[in-house]
Amino acid sequence: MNCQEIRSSLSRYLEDDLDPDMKNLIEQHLGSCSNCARELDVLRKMVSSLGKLEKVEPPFDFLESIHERLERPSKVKLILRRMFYPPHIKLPIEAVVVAATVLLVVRIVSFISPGKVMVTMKPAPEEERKRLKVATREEGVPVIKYEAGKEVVALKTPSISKDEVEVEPEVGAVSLAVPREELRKAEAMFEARPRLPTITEEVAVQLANQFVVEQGYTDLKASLPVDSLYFDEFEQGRQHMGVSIERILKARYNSIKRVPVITYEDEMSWNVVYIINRMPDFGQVVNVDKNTARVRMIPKKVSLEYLMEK
Amino acid sequence: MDNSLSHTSVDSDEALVAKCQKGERSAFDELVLRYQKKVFNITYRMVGNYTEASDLAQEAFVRAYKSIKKFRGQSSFYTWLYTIASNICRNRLRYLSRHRRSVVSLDNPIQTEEGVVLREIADKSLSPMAILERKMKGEFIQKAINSLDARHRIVVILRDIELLPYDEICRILKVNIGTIKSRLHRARSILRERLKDVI
Repeated sequence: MNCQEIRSSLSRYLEDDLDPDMKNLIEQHLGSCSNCARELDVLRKMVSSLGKLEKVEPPFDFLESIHERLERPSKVKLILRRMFYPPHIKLPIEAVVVAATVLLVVRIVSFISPGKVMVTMKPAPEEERKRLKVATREEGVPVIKYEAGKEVVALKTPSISKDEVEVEPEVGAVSLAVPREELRKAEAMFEARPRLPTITEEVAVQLANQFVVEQGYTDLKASLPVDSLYFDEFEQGRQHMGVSIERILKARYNSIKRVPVITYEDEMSWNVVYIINRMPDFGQVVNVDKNTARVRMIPKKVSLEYLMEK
Repeated sequence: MDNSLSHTSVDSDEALVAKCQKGERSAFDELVLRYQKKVFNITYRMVGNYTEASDLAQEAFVRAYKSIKKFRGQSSFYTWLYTIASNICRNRLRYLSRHRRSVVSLDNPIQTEEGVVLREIADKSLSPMAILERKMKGEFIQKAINSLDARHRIVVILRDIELLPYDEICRILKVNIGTIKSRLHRARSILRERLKDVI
């Protein structure tokens, strides 16, 4: 056996993980080859210094920080809150449709009365825990309640009479007799909500070039296929916060203020604004339209690095 | 059964897990206190950055807490916990490599209000010279570890730093023993090459 072969087995020799013949061979070789013997010595020392590496103490508030994280409301809950609060939604059917596409499974079952469609809603699988709780009726108006964590969110449906609601608590489903007209209207509204064009390559390059000018970057690649920007895990003190920006509607350059401006749509815009404004390196929110959930923001240097990497 | 004993004796992991599954938060706290240092040291060696490591270790516990009801005890609690922690670290490293952002290395100075200070790693006893030597060596070693890819990194951490037995590592990483041995061998040769002047 040559030195090369011997050396490749030294790690296993250290572990005493070789058959006796091989072990003998190696020991014989080590007795006659000082280079390999030194090699074994170095390897042994290295492995032993790994084992002796100083243990590092976790921060003193480690447990406390875990408690804090556990108490933070989940994203889903925030979506729910956004959708169902305040409880007296003006366009309940629209809310139903919107909710249906995001959170709930909708099944059109049957026609129960002329002009009405039976719509069954059921929590989507990952939301099984947050079960539908109960449907109560107040003055002929059914109120559907969902148990979401500790809170109960209610959805009022004034255009549906109390006889037109069926609840199956055991499967967590509720069926509503929705006026067909209204359902169609709601679907149309949902369909017609601001569409989400993707940012073109051309715009992205243009945008990035403007960044380059502004920030003094020089090594921009020629083409940047970008249709979304992800900003994830920005450090803010100890906390990691994530923002993901998708569905960019518009990217332009404000030549008066000399800043790039991105307009995008975000269902959780209120939350995103909160996060972005706590991340000065990330950018600055200019404007939020709560009706269309559109956010306009000025991204900063960090964003550029992301854009350029894409 | 002697009840007075149960007050003084320490709960086993299994008992604490069972309590956790019944919703006792304090039992979970106990598990955190029991394993925080171990988990933290794994995440620390994986990412080589104190803040990041603390964040990842906390994330591991949070995930464990959230899915504790799904834990059926096929393995020991800490094996399960280490699996979660190593997956989180590997994902994080994958994320970082995708975004080409490196984590702050140990010797990277920290900017504070009082000026720039060097990162400190806890150290006990020894003379100042020996401390310095050891610290520098530790930093070199961490740098060398950082140069390994995630798969090799985790194996060398669990085996050579945490000194876990092979079968335990197999259960944590859900990889067969042959693969683990070959990764360990590869990781060691890389480290040896990088550390030849330090050791």
